[in-house]
Amino acid sequence: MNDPDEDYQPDTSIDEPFLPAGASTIAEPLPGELVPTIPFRLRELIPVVMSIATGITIIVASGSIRETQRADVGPAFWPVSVAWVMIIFAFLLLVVNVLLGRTSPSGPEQMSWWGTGRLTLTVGVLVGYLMLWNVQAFWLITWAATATLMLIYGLRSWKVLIGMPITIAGLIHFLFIVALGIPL
Amino acid sequence: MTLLTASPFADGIAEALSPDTLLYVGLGVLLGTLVGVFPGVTSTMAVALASGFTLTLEPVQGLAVLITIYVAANFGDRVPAILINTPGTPASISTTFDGYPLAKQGKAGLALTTSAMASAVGMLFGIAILAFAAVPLSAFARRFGPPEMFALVVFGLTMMVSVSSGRVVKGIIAGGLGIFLSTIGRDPMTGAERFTFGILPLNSGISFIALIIAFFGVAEVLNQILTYRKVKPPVPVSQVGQWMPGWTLMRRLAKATGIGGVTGSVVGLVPAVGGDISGVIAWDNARKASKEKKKFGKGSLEGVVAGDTASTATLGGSVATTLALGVPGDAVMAVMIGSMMIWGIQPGPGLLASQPDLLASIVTIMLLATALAFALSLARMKGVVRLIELPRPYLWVVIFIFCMVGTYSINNSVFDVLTMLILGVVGLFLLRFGFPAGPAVLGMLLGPIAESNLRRTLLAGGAEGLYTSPIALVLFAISALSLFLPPLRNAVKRRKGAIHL
Repeated sequence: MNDPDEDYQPDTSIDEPFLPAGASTIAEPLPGELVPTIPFRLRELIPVVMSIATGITIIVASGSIRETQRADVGPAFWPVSVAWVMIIFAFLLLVVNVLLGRTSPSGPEQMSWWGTGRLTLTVGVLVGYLMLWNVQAFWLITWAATATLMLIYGLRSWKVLIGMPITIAGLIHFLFIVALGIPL
Repeated sequence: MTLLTASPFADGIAEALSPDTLLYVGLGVLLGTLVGVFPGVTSTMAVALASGFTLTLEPVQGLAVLITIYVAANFGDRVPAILINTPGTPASISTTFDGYPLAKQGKAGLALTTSAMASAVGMLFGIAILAFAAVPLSAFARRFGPPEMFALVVFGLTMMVSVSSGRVVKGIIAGGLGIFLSTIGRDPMTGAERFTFGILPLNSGISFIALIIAFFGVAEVLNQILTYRKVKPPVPVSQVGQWMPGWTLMRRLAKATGIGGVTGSVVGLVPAVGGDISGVIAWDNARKASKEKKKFGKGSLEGVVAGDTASTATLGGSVATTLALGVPGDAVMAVMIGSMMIWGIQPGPGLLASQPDLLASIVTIMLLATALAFALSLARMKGVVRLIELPRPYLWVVIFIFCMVGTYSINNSVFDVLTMLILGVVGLFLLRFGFPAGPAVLGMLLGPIAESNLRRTLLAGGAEGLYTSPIALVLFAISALSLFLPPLRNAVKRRKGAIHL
């Protein structure tokens, strides 16, 4: 008689988060809190288009590489070959995921409106912080950037807003500028 | 000061035992354990972040920090896996299968101690593989010419792609993107500018460290922000019960430990396959070999030790493959190769012949890290899990600032930081649309090696060189099988299932 356990196959995927039954750390979403998801096939069309566009851009841009020697295997040979591989496999993705609609084992975790807004603000703060490097005192802009990010993420305690940025700015200053001699 | 002797191995050991290096080993163990305990921070992310501030250190000291973070994270990640059923890093996925059920039965203390012991034994298995297999592997690889080297790179890339379960096509495209990014800058053979668009800093190419910090640090945190919902942190199991296993129990667990050790050692030698996969494979192997199959998944100590021994045993094999072949054993080693190259260490067939002391240093560092991490694991780590209650936003802020300053410190270049931020957004796109980051990083790392060896082969004698070399042919065949066999097998299974229905 067959052992029923013999057919057992553990989940060997490495990229998806493992959330065993009853152990989820994610709360039930509140109504209107999550960004609505796009239908699977339409969603899969985005990476297909992006992959083909990237491949075509590489091929077009390779045309401007100046060949210093006349040879089949010059500097443009390798990137053009890679671009073709990307385009061919993007078409395969189109057939499998978009036309046949074969779903992948794990979809991405749903985005929240809170997260989308905070992400945009985060990128803005980080770019602004970078623009001030070598312009303002590093400890000062680090303190300001850290405090702003904490405000964005909803941390409102004055102790946290002053104490934590001072600790981070101090740590960065000591580790990178004093100990490692990085010119910041 | 390092003592110089006639033996390079003794020199390597002495360098690893110097007070400075020991200090960095201690620092790495503390950092690694904390990294393991935080479920949102993987060892790849931590090693990528640490790369930023270790580049100014001496190579062995820098390696001491990176390697010990890697080793200690494999001890720390078992704690949340057992107490809150959430793996600290992917390597402890198999720990959750039986660790959490044991904790719910009031045996958390026993599970934590046994897991730490199994991890230490697994690490010793791996270190033995590194010590004894790296040099012969490297000697064999020294016979490789350009066609074989090209085939080896293809093999490494396909291995990384083939373990991206269900996402092989996206893995290949991600690998292509990584290879393309590696072509930006000057062509290594002719010096011609490629894809620089007149931007001067792009002449020297995109910094590999900037890429890994972007993909494994910034992109991950941006994704956490995007999907964040305010929730109460999970409550750890509070009843820990007995801590130390008795001799009878330890003898009973020897078989499962052996299965884990052998599985992890073998899997570790396969490029690009990490501890998460070997842990699950060993857990299943131990279940099949056990007299108490039914206990597996419901609180079996055999399941805990098999998975944990295997996942840590892969580390030694991963380091061996990386040093001897220049093909990273897993994602963490891909990150570490980036740092090594900046220190002037070029992993590959020639490394262990030209720097035999390095192997001795790494083996010693891994042994020290194992001993320290094991001692720390026995120090009643239940309290450490309270760190999980720290709100994620604190962690995000620290990671962002460290990512930016760390990237700047590589070349003192603001342009590198800007590139890193842009690549972080690209990494987020890849993550959201199911492209695995591993092949992209590997493509960036191995792209130049593949390109130069392929072009040399083609210029020397045409494509014939690729299919007349038996080694290259074998590697190509394994690559093709690893890519196409799993999807074919799945298709056959689906068809059979449809017929049965």
